[in-house]
Amino acid sequence: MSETYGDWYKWGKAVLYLEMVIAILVTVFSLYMAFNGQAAGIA
Amino acid sequence: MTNKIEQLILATVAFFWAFLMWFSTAAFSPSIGDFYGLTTGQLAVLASSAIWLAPPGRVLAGWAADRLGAHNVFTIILTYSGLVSIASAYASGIGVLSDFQVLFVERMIVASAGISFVVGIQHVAQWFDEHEIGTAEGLYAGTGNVGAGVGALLLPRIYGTNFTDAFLHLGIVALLIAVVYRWRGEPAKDRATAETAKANTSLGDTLFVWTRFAAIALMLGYAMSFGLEIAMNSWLPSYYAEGFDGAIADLGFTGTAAIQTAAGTFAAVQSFNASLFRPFSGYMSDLWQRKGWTPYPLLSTSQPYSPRVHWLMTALILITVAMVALTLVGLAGILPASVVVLAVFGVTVSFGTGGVFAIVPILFEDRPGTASGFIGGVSTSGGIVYPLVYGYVPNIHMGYAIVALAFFVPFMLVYLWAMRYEEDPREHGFGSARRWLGGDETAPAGGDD
Repeated sequence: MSETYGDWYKWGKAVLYLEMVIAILVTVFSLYMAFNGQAAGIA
Repeated sequence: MTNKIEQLILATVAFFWAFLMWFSTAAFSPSIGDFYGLTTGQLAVLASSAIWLAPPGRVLAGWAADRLGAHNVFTIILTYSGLVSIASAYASGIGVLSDFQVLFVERMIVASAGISFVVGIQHVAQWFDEHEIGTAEGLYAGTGNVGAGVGALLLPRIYGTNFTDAFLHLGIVALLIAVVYRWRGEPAKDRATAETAKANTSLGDTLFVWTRFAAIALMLGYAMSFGLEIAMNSWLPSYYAEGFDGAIADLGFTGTAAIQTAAGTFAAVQSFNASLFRPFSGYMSDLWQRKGWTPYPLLSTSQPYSPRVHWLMTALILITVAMVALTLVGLAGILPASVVVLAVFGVTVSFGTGGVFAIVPILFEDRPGTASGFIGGVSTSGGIVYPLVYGYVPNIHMGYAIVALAFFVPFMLVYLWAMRYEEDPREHGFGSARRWLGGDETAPAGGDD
């Protein structure tokens, strides 16, 4: 494949990774609550 | 900033706001219920009403984007939904309609802002090249979809029970975005691209897209992913509250408010993963395309975009497996394991949503809006159908496996069958291309299918 990618693609991938990190953090938080319940201090 | 990045940001911000408005009613359900003295049944109707306008609305909006230009259609949607959102902040009875009935109608109109999804898909498709379309569409749709989760998380915290101020402010910002979209938005990267889309909006063109087996297969694929995502958004809080009531009580959550918060937090895992991994799926589609991966023997391998079709097949298989896993882990009654499986499930759903719209603009490059409207619209019916099945099944955990076997396995078989053609799959459908488009279009190689 010889297609070239503009500068935007690099930044687009950075946003993509950032969004995945946010999703993982929400999952970890939810999992933490599933183990610790009220002790997690959110409800 | 290159112009296509500006257009991508415009579409993404506008769609994010439209999604925020779509689900803002749900975020204030308890407050609205208290204020108007609503029953649980009335609240359920209010919540489900948000989805009812999506299938026909998206079909119409997609066609209009091709016909009028995405920047014009997005401006229209944000303007009317913004104005009605402002009006809903002051909802009061008119004639025979009660205060709540007026609010219900107004919020249903505001919720129709969600139809703008297909308009943005069309807009992005008109600007980005084929080899980077997956990532671009993924960034647009994934970031925009987060509006639902952000609304559920932040609106009640910012406004408390004051939903009137929230509706007022959401409407004002929508009007501001509409002004900017109209000012800076351009329909396509060049006049020829815009004219091509505009020229292909006749009834024949529309029926041509609706009758293609490939379009129907992609619509079913989207019903397996996005249709499932919005079904789970509305279903999962009740599922965790009921299906894991013992485990949640053991964790110390007692009382309706605490149980709802806990169940909502577990449910949010699906919403965030399904939205935020969507750009990654578009990126994976681009990667498969770049590497030329075509592992499935039954699917076509000779189309210029075949690797993207194979990536989507992978996603559909993973979604089905994840549904069965949700049932198994639910039957085992292990809450933390269920949360982990739900996170994986959300990621597989994002693979499906991102995978479908990495193909649609390429397969129907001359009719991106009409195709997006059909595929993104009709598939939304899944958001209504699946929860009905979940609720009907006696064991609350079994619903996922039943939907997987009764709906998703047949959907995948249709996908395999429709995408098997080594020649152009657009030539295969109910009626030939010549029949729908007239004599100057290529007739299908194999005649009518």
